[in-house]
Amino acid sequence: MSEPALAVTDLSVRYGAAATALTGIDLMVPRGEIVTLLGPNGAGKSTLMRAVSGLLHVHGGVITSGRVELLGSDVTSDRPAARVRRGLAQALEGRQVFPDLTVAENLAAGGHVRRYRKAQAREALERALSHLPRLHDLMDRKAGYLSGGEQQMLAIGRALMSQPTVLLLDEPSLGLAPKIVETVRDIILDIRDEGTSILLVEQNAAMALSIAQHGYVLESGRIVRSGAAADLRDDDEIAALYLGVSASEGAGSHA
Amino acid sequence: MTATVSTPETTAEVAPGFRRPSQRRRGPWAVAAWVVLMLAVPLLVSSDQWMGVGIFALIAAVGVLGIQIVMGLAGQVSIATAAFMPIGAYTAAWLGVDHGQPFWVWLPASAVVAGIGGALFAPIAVRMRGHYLGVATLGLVFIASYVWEVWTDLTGGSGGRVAAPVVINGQDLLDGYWSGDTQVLTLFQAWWYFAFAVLLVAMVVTWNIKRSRLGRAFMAVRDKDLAAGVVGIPVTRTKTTAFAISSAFAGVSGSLLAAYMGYVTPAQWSLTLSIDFIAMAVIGGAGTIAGALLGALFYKAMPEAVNWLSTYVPFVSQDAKVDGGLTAPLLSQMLFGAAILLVLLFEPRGLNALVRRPFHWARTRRERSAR
Repeated sequence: MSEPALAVTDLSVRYGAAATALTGIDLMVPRGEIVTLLGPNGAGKSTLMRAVSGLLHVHGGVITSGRVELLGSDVTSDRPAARVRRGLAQALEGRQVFPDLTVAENLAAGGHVRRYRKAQAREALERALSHLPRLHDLMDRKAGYLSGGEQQMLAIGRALMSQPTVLLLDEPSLGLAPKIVETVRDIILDIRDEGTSILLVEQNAAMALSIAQHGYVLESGRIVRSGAAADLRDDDEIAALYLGVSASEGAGSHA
Repeated sequence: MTATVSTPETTAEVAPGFRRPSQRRRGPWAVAAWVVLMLAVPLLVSSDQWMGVGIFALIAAVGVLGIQIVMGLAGQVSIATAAFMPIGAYTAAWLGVDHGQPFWVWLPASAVVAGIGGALFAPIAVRMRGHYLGVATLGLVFIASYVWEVWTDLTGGSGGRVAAPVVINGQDLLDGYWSGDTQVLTLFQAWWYFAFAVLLVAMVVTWNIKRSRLGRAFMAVRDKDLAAGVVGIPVTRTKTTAFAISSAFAGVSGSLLAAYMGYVTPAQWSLTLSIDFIAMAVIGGAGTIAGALLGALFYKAMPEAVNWLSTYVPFVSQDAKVDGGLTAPLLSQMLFGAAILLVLLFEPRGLNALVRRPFHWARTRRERSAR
């Protein structure tokens, strides 16, 4: 039980022959915690997510060194489906729901690797919906016709259908109204309280740091800062860069 | 073309447990009524010509179901039907004629061999998308027609060869079905029932695929293959399976067509055939099961109907004239083209949606008045 939910060790990734996207990344998500990964556009956040979920090859990326471990097992060279079976699920950036499938079908597709029997599928569905009650009334609707917030909830719900131990959330607040962001935030906390470990990639650092226990800051493919979320929140530099607060305003005990 | 294919009815089919109660009750009755109607057709239709048209439509519908799976459900463009149909036809001829095997051997075998053919093509197909995939499958048709022309031992070359007969109780169905000296079923009646039985099996298989985990995987890959990968659907394997199943359906359709015609020539497996099948799928309603039959019926019956109608149109001569002018075949071609355009213009989701419209309308009315 002591091993972390997700551990990335000395991970380096490159695209094509030359472009190095990530260098020597060390990152850990302890069980039952929310860990956030911050960083500007192009820092390599998505690349890191792809390396963890196993979809790097789709984008032409290659792991040149390092390891990805899920619940203590090395999954570095596993296919995406094998990782999902081991307990990893991901809600992709930009929602990426199946637009022509109904909400019910989208959710059912999320349980693909589990090969549920009817009763199990219903149980998984009820569990997922308990976090996302809004989806209840939308079951027959085509996902393509949902609002941005609803699609985000569906993307999270679809990920939950495989009953993951580790959940990767890629920019869940992107493009959502502040009120919806709050709802999404509560949903994430709710899922964490059920025991699921979460790696949260966010541009919205204020939201992310308010719910995470740990945080990492990625810049130009390297981890430049890491620590307790509370410390990062109080850090002047982080405040200035990611929280939209100038250094003088950011009252902070320098960690 | 896969963007707006499924009607509310068809999407409800694939989500067991989330159907409205009214749909759950009526579906089986509608299917039962349709089966009874189909069984009654040979008793109601006396014209051999129209029975022949119907049989061609039933046989074609099996192949169209294959297109519904690969294009409608899995979203992979394939113009290769004309390459996989002859694989089935020649497998059947080889087993049924050269090796004297009965139809219950050659018919499944034509599915298996064509399915393997589709699976072998898949490694190329899964590397491409959209138009590129379409053109690649086009290439397959050209390669296949060359093979049929030169592989004379199997195909008889451009002269063609005898196809596998359907023999039941020692009787070739092309002679009808006899009990002693009395003919119980004519050729057309016998073949109608045989082709309908095969189509029914193909429809049940498709229906089950659509509702299954595999069917959902097809649609997920069609909608967003990246997201499908994220939820753990093996994208490459899913596409390969779609191609294999679709080709198997084409193989069965091909072997049936050859058996019904009694003869196979390489020239009949041209690119036009592939286009015909895609047209049937689109006109019927892409991705739908009923649409496969509706599209095939429309496509096979419309030219005949128009031909027959044109005899009543003034100023149209029945035969080609030296000085040009409007002839019946010419008019029928034009009207056929116009009919296709009209269907697609007024109901892009195809005949399947058009046929369901009144039922849908009645239901919403009932639901509204119930409230």
